Amino acid sequence: MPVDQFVRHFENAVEGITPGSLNPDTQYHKIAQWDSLALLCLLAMIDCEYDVQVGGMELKSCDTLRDIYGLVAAKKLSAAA
Amino acid sequence: MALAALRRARIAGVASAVPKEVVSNSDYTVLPEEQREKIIKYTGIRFRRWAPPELCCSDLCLAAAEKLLPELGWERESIGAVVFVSQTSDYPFPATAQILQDRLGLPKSTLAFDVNLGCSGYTYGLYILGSLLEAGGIQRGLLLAGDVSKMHGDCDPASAVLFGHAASATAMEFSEKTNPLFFEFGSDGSGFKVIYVPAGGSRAPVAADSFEKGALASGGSRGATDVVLDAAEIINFTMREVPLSIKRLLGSADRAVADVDAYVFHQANQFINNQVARKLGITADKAPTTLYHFGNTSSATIPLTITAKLRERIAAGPQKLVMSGFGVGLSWASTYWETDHVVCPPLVEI
Repeated sequence: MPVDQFVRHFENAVEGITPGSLNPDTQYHKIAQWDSLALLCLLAMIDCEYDVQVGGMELKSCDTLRDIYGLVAAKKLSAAA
Repeated sequence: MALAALRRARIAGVASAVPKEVVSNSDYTVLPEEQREKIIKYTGIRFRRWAPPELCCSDLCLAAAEKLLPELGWERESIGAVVFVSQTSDYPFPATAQILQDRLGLPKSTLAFDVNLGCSGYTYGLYILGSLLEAGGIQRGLLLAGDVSKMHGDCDPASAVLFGHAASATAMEFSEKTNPLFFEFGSDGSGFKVIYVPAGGSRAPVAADSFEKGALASGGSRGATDVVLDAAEIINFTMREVPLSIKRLLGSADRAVADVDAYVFHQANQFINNQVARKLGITADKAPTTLYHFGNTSSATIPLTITAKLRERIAAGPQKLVMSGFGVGLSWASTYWETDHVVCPPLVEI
């Protein structure tokens, strides 16, 4: 599933996360590793892996990794249209 | 996005100067040690050079120019232009460039002015001075670029550990037989609040409460005369604009990414530069860094990196360089330069 792939990318991007420990319904902002540097790593990962950009304010509307993936997928669709 | 080329302006020499005093981010006790080390790892910045209160950017520029001019063998009378690129001028007015004209002993016929730019300032400055030379009438000029800024509050972890002090002098001259310099520029003022100082200009003059520090959600505190820095938007800006800028630049110079010997990026932080390198498909050895020892020195980062990391290679033979400055404005400018007998003295410390 693309959303699972997104979770794997997230785990690789943010330092200190054990691979396979998160799932699409993880509330990313509640994990121990989440801080201002993790945010920057996430934004860079989205740009590199998906070739779209998500703003810091946009992320605030997302609660889970699935929410972020939905935002990314919508942006990709919009860019392709 | 604008592309340009200069075909009769030559970069003859580059020199850089820093204060002797070294400060260590390991001593930044506003943050607990674990968090501090994490930021050091992310930014790549361990040490920074710090100027004493009486030392201005212009003093560092002067030291760099005084080192460079004898090595070039240039007579002062032969210089017709001084462009001072900085966001830390000596006074609100007059322009610092005039003061430097006098301190350097340059003739009264010198054209001199300041340019208020930061991260993109060096590459902008090359184009501005190069254009003056190419227009004719002026044979030689000096680009003096750098910053000694203390507007990043010690209490704001987002900016306090990033900035250091440095300045540079770059000598350019009119030449009919030189390699062309290629440029790509851009501006996006809609993002000016991504990096800015709220108070101290005409829009919001300094008031009694400007120095009061407000608590930050991320920890630490900040006043209205301290720099505001939105790291998330800086990441997005850089990744959106800079790789494309460089690709457009190389296209205009009819060069491929792999043709370039070294990419001299503005040294903002290592994480950002790693992302730019990754998007360009270049390896770390092609993107020299001076962040560990000097941090972000604004418009001086590119010449400082040339001095500290590339001077021996430049002395050994021609190098194909891309220089890219990006940040405050928001603003960016990239330059393609094939070096040719460039004088590059060792780093000056004062």
